[in-house]
Amino acid sequence: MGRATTAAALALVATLFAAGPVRAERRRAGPVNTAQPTLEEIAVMQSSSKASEVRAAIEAAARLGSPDVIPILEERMRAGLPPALLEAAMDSLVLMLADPGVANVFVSLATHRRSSVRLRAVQALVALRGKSAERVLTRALGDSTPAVREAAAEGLGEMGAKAALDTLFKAFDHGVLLAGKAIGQLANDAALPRILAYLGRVPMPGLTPMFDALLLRRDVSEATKLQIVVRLQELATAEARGYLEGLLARLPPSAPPRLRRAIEDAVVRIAQ
Amino acid sequence: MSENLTISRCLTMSVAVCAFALSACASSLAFSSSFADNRPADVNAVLQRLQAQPRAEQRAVVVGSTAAPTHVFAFDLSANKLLWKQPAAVTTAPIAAGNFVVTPEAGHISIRDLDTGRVRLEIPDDGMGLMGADGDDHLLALVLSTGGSMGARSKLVVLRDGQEILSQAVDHPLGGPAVLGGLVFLPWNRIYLSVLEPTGTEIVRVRVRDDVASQALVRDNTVFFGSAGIFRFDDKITAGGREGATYYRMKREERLPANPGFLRSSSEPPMPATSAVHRVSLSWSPSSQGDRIGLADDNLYLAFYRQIYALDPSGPGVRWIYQTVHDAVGVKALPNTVLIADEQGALTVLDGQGRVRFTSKLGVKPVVAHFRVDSFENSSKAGDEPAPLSVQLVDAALNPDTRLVPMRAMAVTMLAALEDETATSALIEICQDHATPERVRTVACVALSKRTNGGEAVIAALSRHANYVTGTKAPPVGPLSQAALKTGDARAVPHLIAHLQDPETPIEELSPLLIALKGLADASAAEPIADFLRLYHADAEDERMQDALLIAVQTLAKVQGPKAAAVLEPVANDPFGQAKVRAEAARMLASLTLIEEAKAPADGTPPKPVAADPPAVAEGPPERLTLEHVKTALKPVEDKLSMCVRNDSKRPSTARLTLVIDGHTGDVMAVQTLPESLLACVQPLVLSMPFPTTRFGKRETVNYTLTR
Repeated sequence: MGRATTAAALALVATLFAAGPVRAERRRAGPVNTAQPTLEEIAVMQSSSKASEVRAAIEAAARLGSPDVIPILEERMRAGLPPALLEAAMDSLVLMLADPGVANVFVSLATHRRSSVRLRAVQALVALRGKSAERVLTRALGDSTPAVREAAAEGLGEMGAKAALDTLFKAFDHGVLLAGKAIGQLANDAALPRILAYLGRVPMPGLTPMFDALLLRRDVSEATKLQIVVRLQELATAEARGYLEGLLARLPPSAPPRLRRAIEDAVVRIAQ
Repeated sequence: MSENLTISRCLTMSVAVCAFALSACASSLAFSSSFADNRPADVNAVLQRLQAQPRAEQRAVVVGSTAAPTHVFAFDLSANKLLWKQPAAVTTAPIAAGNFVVTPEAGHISIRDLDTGRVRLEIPDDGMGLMGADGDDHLLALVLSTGGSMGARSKLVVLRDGQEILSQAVDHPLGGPAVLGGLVFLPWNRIYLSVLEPTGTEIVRVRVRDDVASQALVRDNTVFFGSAGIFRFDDKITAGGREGATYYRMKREERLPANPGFLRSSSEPPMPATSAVHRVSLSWSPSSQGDRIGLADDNLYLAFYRQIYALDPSGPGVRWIYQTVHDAVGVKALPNTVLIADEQGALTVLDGQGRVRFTSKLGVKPVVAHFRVDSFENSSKAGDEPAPLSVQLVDAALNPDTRLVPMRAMAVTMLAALEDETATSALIEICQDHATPERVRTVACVALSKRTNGGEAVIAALSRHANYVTGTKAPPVGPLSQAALKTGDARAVPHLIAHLQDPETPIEELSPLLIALKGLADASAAEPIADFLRLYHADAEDERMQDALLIAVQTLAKVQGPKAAAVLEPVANDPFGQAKVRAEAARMLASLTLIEEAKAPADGTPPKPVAADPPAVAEGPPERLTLEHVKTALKPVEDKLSMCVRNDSKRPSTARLTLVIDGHTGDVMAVQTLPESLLACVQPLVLSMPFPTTRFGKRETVNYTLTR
């Protein structure tokens, strides 16, 4: 996965795997020990009146790693669970990445009244990359909980949701910081004037993720990148200089020589 | 005090003593307990004198006092100029009376010449306040009093051409006097109006009931007096009560904010000039039409700091509202005219429709202003037409001045009385604006919830959802839901469902929303309500959520009837479920069962299908297994299962059966019971029964309740 939101989603369930191998290895190796409940046992355990037993069933489902547990978990979640068990079940379900059907339950939970559930649902949808994720994440940019908005913005950037660009600009205007990074990941050359308009209006630290993403992309024209550097040079602030210095260090060797020179020139020209 | 004044006072006191002696000899001593009241002949004699001596129109002026350093001033309205301004330690509001300005100052009352402001006389106040003053071209009558009823002290002072001719102290409460036809009309003891010769001789006494005699005033050469209403002093006044006498009292019943009096009460001492009392007042002008009296233009003007309301005195309505930039410190109503003086010295004259006709500057900044004006002629063209009443009310309701909150709430109430769509939209706006004071907002929300018109605005508002990025605020879903329910507008149902599913819908709005869905009883709401119930019945720590879930249970039962059992049964039996919600689900299940049983004929034959429940048709395997499927499958062993429950050692009243069924084959893959002791008895029975397959062949977990 290697992406921030996906990693965050998986981090939530890391504890489930603390005692055992990852799912792929499990499938090859089969059941680890005889204490692992069967599918039928998991189904029955989930109907227990004891929270600990239900939790054990959820955790066992995650360890089992079989797509067959998806409808069982899904059914149990839809039937209603206390918050802690619901979130545990979500953490287990997110592991069933191969099953596109699992996304549906997260779509419905993305409008749950608990913001912690919505956040998990958004992170899961980013990880699952279902067809409906883009629509749900775009809507989640308008969530009243900052963490949900930020996760949605980051996810849209990661998913390459170009259709959400306009909403991301609006979200950035309303202080959704990670929308800046997503804009940097998604914007095309035509969006440059809108991006440059932030210079001098938005503090530099808020813009650096956007510029970072944009300047390090291969599918953005050199002319656009040079224009950004020129405007940063014109800004001539210590923060702009510091940013360009840092960028210079991070530029890949394959970066266009003209861009590298332009950054070097800008750093020199901005007075200390 | 000057020597001249001292001499003058000695002379006038001598005159007063002589007058006292004379009146005593004639048995007409004012305030005597032996004086006969309500004698028609006496009244008619006075009325003839009034007719013979009409009062000439008096100079139109505004008098008042300013903030520290305090000054008393007089402004000529006809000449539109400040006559004079003089430093004075003004204590309560000055009054223009006759050719003088009567000003309460520290320890005394100053009588100033209206033309020049020169002090003509100073009268010790003896610890009393100025209750009122009036005059004509020659006479001036003023009353000082402690206020109150028991133990009240008062003094009547009469001046003729600036010379004191009477100063009579009494142990009665006296009210504000009026002067007409060379006579003094004096309310006293709260039930009497006496007509006195300027020397103090009482010639008529009227005793009233149904109202209090507190203040007297002259309008169009007619004397009016009263407190909560007004009596006209005419040939019917001897009737003494509202039946028989010519009397007017407004029919408006609700208490106005700050409760301003119709007329000033004689039992209350005058308030300081700087008191807010002077910024909250009623103003009106009496009008006579034959045997009836009323208010000119049928308008009662309420001044409340920066807002002037032209109220309907006969009901809760309002005709227009005018808002001033600064506090109105003096208001005077005349026929088709309202004069307003504000604290910054702006003088504004409105016509009877609330249009500005004239503006000017007083040249001073008054803290209190008193108009003495019989008519105000101005040929200026009327200002702009006022905005529609609904817009005026919205502007008034949204005025951010915190002192206006009670009036703003009243403006919202008045707005609610309007039936147009604009009013509905405005109520929605005010209800959803959390920056609006809670009192005002609550009035708007309550009014909105009772709205029976403006459906388009309600639907439009319901279609809106909160969104951080677009800056859209959540509409007031609760009141809007109730409004939709009032009108039975089924168009609201999909919007209500959308808000039920929207996490931004405030938790306190869920109950009214669900009540509306229950009332509208649209079948399309069943599934979303079922989802809501399933999702949150085990996540309901908040009491407001519990309440919403209880209503959801009831709504589902109403919308779905017996079919709701498929949702209610698992909820009722879910050990994680909130106790109140489970209990309500169980109660609903029981009532649904009773309804079903009632449908069954007494002879035991199977019940006929209910009309609303069409006969089943072959549709292939179901998508999912429901309780109905399980119930049908277990029907053959139903009695035996009940026997298992009855015979169980733990003797439960009900038991829970959990089945895991392979949707592909219909095989029972697992059986669990609660209590577990039942398993041995129940499991073989369940395993012996075939269960239906499902369309998608998924594994199904079903919870089912076994009864004894």
